[in-house]
Amino acid sequence: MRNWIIAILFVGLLAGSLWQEPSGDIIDGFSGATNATFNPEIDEVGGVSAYGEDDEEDDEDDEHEDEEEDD
Amino acid sequence: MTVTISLVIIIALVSYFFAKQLHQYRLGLYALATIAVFVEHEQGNYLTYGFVALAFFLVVMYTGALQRGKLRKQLAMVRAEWAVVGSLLLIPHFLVFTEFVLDELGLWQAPLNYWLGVIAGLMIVPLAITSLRIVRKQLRYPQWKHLHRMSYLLYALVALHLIVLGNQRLPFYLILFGTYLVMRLFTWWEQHNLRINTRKSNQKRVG
Repeated sequence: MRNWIIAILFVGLLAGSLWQEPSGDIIDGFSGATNATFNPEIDEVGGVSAYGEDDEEDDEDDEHEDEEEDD
Repeated sequence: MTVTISLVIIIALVSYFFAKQLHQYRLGLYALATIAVFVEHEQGNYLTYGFVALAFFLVVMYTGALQRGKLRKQLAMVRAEWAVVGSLLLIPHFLVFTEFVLDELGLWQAPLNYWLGVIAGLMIVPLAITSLRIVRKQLRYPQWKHLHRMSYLLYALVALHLIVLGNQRLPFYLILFGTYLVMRLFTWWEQHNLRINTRKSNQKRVG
């Protein structure tokens, strides 16, 4: 009984992780690319902007700076 | 987690069918793991993130929670081997993150999960060394068993190391370590009851 619970647990976790993680990110992990699934924390600590939000705020800042310069 | 869980299933299946051969050629396994450590560079990948080592440790951990039977017997035969391989594969994980912490943060600004990992890593060293057959032979069984009780503390530290990260894999870690805890508690309760019943029946026989 206990062995079956463990087997079902791991198969369930595999299904859950396949559903949660984009397959592209899993493949990238083999080649060593950092992506939204694998270790974004390192990038955040290292000062890299978060995935999906890249440079949007920076662009806005740049625009404001440009406006100020024009004035 | 896909790669980690897939690896756990593959390692368990390979251990079940080829336990004898793996046990026999364990030096080859250690050599392969050592080569993997030296070939590895500072890039972030499954090995340097510690996912491969985690898969080996999960197999070692859950072997203790299995019911007595063929599956447990086969996996127990290569448990020490996988513990040594897992420990060797932790070296790139430790080196890459230590380099990252030293370069980007400084040692004293390192996050809690880093220090938990370092403590867990230090605890793994004596456990891995005494898992080697040549060293194990030098120890008496009670001594060895007493030392290896430390592995429960190690599992707790590894769980904390992963949970403190608080990333999107958190539910998986909680389920994996939570289920293990429940199963171990159940096994201890079972063994405790068995001991009490044996003592009672012995007393009856004497009486």
